Amino acid sequence: MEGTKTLKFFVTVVCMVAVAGAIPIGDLLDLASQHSDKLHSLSTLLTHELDTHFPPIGHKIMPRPSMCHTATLQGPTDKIQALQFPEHDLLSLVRSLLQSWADPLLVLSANANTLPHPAQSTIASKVQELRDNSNSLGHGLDILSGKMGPASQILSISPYDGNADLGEDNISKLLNFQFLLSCFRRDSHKIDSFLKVLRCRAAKMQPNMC
Amino acid sequence: MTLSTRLKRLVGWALVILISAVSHNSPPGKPVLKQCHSPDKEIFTCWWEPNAHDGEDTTYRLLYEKELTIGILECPDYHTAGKNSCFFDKNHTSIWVDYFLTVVAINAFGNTTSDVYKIDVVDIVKPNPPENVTLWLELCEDIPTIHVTWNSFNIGTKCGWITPKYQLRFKKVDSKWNIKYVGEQTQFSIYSASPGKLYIVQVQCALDNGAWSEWSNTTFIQVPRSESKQHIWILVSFSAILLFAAVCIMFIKKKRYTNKCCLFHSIQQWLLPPVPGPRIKGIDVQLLKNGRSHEATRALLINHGFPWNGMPWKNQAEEYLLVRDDNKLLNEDQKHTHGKMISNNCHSKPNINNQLNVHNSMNFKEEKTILDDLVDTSQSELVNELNYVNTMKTDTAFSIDTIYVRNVKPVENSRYVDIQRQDVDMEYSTVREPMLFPEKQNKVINRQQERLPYDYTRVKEVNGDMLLLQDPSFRNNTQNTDYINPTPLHPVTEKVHECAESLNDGYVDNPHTHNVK
Repeated sequence: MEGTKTLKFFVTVVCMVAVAGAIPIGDLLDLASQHSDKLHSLSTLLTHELDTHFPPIGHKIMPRPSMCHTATLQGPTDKIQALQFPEHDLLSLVRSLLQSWADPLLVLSANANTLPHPAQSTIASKVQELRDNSNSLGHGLDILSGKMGPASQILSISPYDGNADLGEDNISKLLNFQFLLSCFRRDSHKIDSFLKVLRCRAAKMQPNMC
Repeated sequence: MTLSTRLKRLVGWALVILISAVSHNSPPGKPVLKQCHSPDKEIFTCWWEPNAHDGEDTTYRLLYEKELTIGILECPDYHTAGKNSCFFDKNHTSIWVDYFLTVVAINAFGNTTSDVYKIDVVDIVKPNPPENVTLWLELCEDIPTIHVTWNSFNIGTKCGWITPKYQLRFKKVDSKWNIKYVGEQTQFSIYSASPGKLYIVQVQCALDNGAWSEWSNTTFIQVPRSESKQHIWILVSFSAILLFAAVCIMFIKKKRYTNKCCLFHSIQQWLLPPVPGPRIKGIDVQLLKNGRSHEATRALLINHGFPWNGMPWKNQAEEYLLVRDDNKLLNEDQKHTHGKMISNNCHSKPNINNQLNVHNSMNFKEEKTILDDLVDTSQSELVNELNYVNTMKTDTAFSIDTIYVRNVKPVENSRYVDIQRQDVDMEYSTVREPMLFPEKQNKVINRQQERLPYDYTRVKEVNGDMLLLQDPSFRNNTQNTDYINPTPLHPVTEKVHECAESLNDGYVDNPHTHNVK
């Protein structure tokens, strides 16, 4: 929780200074990629936490990742593509992905409190942290896009059309929870990778960073 | 068909039948995809394990499907990664995309397909351990620091595609591992390494919050022993030896002079010596001791500036003797007279009393000299006394005793030195009597010693006859009587001796001191 508070503080500082145009884009990107790194590591931890007590059958009947609601948001799928992708589009994609997860994270948060899992409390607190981090990152990216121009501000949000209660029985609940989390983990990794590519691109003058 | 071709077919079939008769004659077993692994998020390799019963003729094919791609694809490279493997190069690797892999074992009798193995390349990333782990030692003011560096993960880091993170572990030989998270840096420092120990260090890395690699090869470093610590130990032991020697010397020194068995006392006396009192210059202790009092007196008179030879009783707390030079002393309030000579011979502590006899025999003359100390040679009265003494021609020390103290230290309303002796722990001299009467000193002392701890108002208990006339030579000396009677000094001195140990009562009410002959 303290981490998110500091993040928020940083973001507010960044906001204020960014308004004055004092912080260069490279620093903003650096800050944003720190957020996204944290986001990805949190989601990875969560999936591992869930896997400790996951019904074996779940792996077999797990929906395919193409069933993730953000599957429509196409982007680079390998390094070469990522390096060639235009910056504005990359940032736009990142923001769209993040925004698309605003509602599903709420669903995850709501269900985490009643999750039939032995590590439920840890999971619930981590999901909350996930939400806070995601919000902070979103604010930062808004500022960044403001600086980078209107092309980066195009958002194409994929709506989440899943059920709010994630299932009726315990196994379904767990399964859907895990599936949603795995989708989020993948998307957070995308966000993290793209932001880091952007950071390195913007920091051409500072080879030590990349 | 010609006869030759038919014959060939027949032979072929026969061979096949023969071979199949030799082999198991069944389709191959089900292969198992064991693992897939990507070292850098750009390529990956997968391995499978064929069934044990499969014959040599079984061939394997890896087929896969890709998310967002239509169609079944086959492994692009069966050879680069070895047997029973499939290598996917950059062109065939996509991330954030699911691969569904299957291996098919084919032989003459059929084929068998393995279970579907789903992977996302991102999830199978496990880098190789870091290379070129180097250790070097830095000695800064004898504090050793171990610096560790290693090669960074170069592929993909330049453009931000991969973020390697490192973790290090180290330990001293025969102790537990100490794991430290390093982060994105390629160097680490171990501060305050223990001197003289062998350290083992290993490094591992992970990409994009993924799985940790294996630990790197072990690297060793030996921290040299600290020289300064040895120096410190040498210094400490040396100073301890010196201290011990000093204590011993001190103890021996004390023993010589005080004859005390207790080291503590000697140390105490050494550390907190009693304040020495005034000495009369020119007094030769040895002369007095030897009994040649007149010589000593002469010396005193002649050589006022005679350097004082070392006094054996330096540890005696001395006080000025209260003297009055008139008879009023006897009649009036005698509380003013608080004269007291202290010598450490007379301790208030009962256990030391045994020693006092010995000391007193030695010290009565010293007591006299104490008195002498108090003599104010500048006083004309005293000079008169001295002259008088000098003419007495007695060779007893007694004559010296007549050099009593007068007006040693005038106090406001009287000429008495007021010595408050409330503290029983202080050393009191009760040897005043023995000073005058050497023959009876022992008795006196004994008596005095008995009462020492409690009550110094012994005046009443003192017999008059012991006061002055114990010295036979003294008695015989008419001059002495003359000396005694008319002058108030003797009574005073008597009183002084009587009340040697009295704290507050002084010479009090002992009228028959006059009568002492």
